[in-house]
Amino acid sequence: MSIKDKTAIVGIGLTDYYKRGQSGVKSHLDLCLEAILKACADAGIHPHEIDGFSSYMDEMNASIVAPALGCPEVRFSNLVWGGGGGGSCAAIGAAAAAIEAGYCDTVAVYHGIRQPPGLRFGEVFARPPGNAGTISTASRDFVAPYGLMAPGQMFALIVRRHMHQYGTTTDHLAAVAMTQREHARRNPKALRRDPMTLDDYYNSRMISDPFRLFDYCNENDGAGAVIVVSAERAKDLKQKPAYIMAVAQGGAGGWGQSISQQTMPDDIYPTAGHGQLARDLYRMAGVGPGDIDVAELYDHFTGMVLLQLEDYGFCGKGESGPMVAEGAMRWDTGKIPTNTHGGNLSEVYLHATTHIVEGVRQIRGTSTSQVKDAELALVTGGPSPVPSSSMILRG
Amino acid sequence: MSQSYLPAEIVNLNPDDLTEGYWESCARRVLSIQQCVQCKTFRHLPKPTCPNCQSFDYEYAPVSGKGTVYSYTIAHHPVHPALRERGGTYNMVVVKLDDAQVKLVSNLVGVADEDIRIDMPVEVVWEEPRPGVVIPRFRPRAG
Repeated sequence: MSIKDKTAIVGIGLTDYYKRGQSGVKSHLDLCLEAILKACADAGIHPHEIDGFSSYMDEMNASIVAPALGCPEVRFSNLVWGGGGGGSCAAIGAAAAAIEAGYCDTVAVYHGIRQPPGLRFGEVFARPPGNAGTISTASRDFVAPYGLMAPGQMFALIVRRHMHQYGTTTDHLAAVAMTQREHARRNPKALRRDPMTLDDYYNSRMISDPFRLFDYCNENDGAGAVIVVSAERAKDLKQKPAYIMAVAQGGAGGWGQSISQQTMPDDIYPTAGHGQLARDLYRMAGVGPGDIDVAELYDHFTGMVLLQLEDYGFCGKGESGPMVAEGAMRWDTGKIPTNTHGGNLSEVYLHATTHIVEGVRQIRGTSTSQVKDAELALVTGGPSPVPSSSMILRG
Repeated sequence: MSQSYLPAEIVNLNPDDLTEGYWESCARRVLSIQQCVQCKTFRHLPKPTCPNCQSFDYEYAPVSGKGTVYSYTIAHHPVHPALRERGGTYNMVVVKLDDAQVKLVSNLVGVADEDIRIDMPVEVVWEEPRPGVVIPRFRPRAG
């Protein structure tokens, strides 16, 4: 038994994109509701049909969202553990499993970000103990006294090791940033649309060596949602279904909370931690990397795109940098068109909601950087504390 | 005289039952790593159980304090106010300890940012950013 092809994403909704802390009078709940309503309209269903709620790293649970939408029945609810955008595809997988298991029929999968003034993800471990979003104070004792307080610093350590082991260079990181900027420039909704040359990249200020400003994603407010129903029902709805072909979630047990503590075992340290997800995903789907037409890979930092390209088998270990420098990520001519919306780096940072939505667009044929005849789209959640997750959508 | 590579303001230790043995050892200027009493497997971060044999019995066992740089980054844009006030850059390293084979996050002292290399041999040094609070940092050593 498997969830393969049993369900589909039939509606997508995104709010406007806001700079961090600038969503004005719209609350976090407002943003989530707006995204869900847009997804319902896109699918052509009434919000009262929603009877399942699934999310990741979001406090807007079904007890808050369902009454606001007026949904008469809550029959399934789910929150995936983990940080950042790691659990995004796992939340979709839970929705698919719940529908297949008969818990419910119509699931809204949603996630919003509205950062309160003065708090931001990039400073998450610099906050005073006791604030929301901090790891336990006793665990933090092993990193905070050394100034390791920002996700960018943590991922810089991983990428530095990759550079050492495989010869990856900052030119390779630049190629990720520049390619995604080109894609963002084709996307009218993207927030960062100025051209980016190699000089621009190298002129952006160093933040955490080897990462410069242009290796970092945005920090934004907004929300995204999708509607998941059975494959059978999807056929009768308005949009071309994006069938959920396979989902994998989790990660190596030894990865655990490692990102914040850097204690990953040697064999997986210079990776995105997605090796076993790739294995499980391809096994469920019955396809391999050569079958994937387009990849929407979570990109909090340029280097982690490279490491995911390796984890998902689009090249060998250590080969991602040169491959991307040769244009592999390009939407039109690339070997594996990647982050065709511009990604977190250049479009918007709403954790992984936009990667899911862009994967669906590619299947529908409606991306602003549409990959010709895209049949299979790989979507990933963020390399993060376990669980992370990924999925394959099929046309 | 207290001395510290980074400001004392960022050193606010909150040991719990699991970690107090580590910090008590540091106060004696001895680096000790959590070790399973049953199967002798070292582990870091501290955990209640041994990942190898699931025993709850552990001790903090002294190690040599020698290791190598496994990875590093140079922070140019600190996120904590005390680090911003300090100004300049600072390094962060992941040190892999020779005997326990676990990875610790720390800083290197006595070396310029540009001279830090992966695989560089290092050894523990003790800093006391505020009286009675002793934390391990590392410095290069002859290979």
